[in-house]
Amino acid sequence: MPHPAAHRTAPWRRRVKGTEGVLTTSALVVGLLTLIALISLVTETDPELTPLRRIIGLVLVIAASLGFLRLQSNLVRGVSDKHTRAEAYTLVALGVVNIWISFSWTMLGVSTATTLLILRRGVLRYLAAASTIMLGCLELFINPNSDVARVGVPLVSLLVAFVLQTLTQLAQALRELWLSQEELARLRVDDERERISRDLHDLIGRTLVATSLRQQAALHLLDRDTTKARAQLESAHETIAAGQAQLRKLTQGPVSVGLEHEVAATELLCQRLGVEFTHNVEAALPAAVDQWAARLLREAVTNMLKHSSPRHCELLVQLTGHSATISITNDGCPPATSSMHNGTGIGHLRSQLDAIGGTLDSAPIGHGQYRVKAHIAKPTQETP
Amino acid sequence: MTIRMLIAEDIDLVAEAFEALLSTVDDFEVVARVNRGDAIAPAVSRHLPDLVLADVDMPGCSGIEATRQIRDIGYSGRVLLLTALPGSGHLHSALSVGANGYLLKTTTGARLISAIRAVMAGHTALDPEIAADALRTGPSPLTERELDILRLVAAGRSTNQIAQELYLSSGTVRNYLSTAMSKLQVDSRVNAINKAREQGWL
Repeated sequence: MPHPAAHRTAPWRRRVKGTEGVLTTSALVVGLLTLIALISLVTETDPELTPLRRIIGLVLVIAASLGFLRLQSNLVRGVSDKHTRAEAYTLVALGVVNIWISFSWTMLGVSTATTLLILRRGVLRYLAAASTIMLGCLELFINPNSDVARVGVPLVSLLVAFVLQTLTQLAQALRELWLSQEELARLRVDDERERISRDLHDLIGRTLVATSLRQQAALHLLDRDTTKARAQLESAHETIAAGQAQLRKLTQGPVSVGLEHEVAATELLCQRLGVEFTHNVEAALPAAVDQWAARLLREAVTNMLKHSSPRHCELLVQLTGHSATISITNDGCPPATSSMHNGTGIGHLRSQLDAIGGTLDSAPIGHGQYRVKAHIAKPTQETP
Repeated sequence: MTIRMLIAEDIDLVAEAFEALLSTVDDFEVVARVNRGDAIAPAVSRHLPDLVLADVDMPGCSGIEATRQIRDIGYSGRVLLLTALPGSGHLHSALSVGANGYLLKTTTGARLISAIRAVMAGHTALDPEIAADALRTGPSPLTERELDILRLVAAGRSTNQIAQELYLSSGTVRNYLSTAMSKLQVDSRVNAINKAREQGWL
């Protein structure tokens, strides 16, 4: 069953979990190189380096590093259209030109990394990277320079290029991983809906067919044999009654095995999705509270994954005096949320809680947080 | 002359209701009831009914497969198949294996009884809507290869495993799948399987 697009957060609005560490490292490397480049531009005493050249150099160095970071962020998010590529090629060209203008080789590694990243797999990439380095180092060999510089610059640039390329690819892989984990969680939810829908279809189908046949049989027998006709009508009634009972059981949802189990399952799920799940549950809960908490936790987490991009989720179960409070709070709730999140699951639980004198609130509470909170009157004796 | 019939239906609730209705007709006699597709052939050999009334969707083997089996052993009585799905894909195979009728399970009792009489008299009884749908959509648009691949996907195999099993390259497997998906006008493999099943092509 395809789910409506409205329930999906656009991929580029989700925070790309797991990649922040890698991208920060990469940004630090680029930042360091930029700093070195800028300092050397400012302090270089070469007479050929006129103030104009220095200024152009400064501008191009900053452009190169910002451009690289932008390219990296695009690639990790999966954007690589012709605009991105055009920008990248321009940057590489400017980077190489910069070496001729202001002798700054420090950013050569970054330019080479740019080359490596925008071209697809294959020999072409490495050839292009090698050409970039050679073009950049050409200046080194044409003009007088130390041997150390002639060997060191290409080597260091290569090293920097490969490090940056690897970090970017790592970030890309992490993003793919996170996206498929999210997809798995959604599929789990869809699976459950599909199962219920199928069971419902089967149940109603067979109840209706069997009842119809019994009534037809009763009609046939009506004139000939009233006793048998009556028996068929009784059967018809039994069929319908059985169907109703099964329907009620079906729409109540899967029976929970208990809060402890539900908490363990939620921990596992949250861990896989990079959500921090904390719980503060009082010990020795009455059986009824335990059951309610388990069902609420399952429902709230399902909704949370469907509608929010959470990083934290907290479960609280407290007993106070004559009542119990169960609350599940998460962040990452999109601003346009309202009571549209009160789907059938929550609504169902609410009406069931109403019936036993409890309350259920489910709403955003500001600062991008969402809370599902229930109050239950503590039973005076254990429910069997 | 009594018409002796065998009922094959896996849901007891529905099977008993069928039997109850058919028993109200004087010249119908239910001689046996089975709840698995693979129990039909042995029961037919044992009881030799004049008519087999069978559900298409049963554990063991389908009603259509069972029809093929009993025709193969030379059964010359009538076979009337009942289905819960309105898709017309199975209609072709049902008729080609030798069924004399194909109706929806939700057919009214009166229509079921007259369909039985029609079939006994040598006619073919088809649900009009299913027949119209079959004429409208035509036979399965999927080739045997595409069906093979879809079946393997439904069994949970990955693209690479399918490629190995069928001695194809994974690129070829992917191509077959995308052709199948565009023929069925769906956007995913899962939907392709669902739609093909619905229509009875898979």
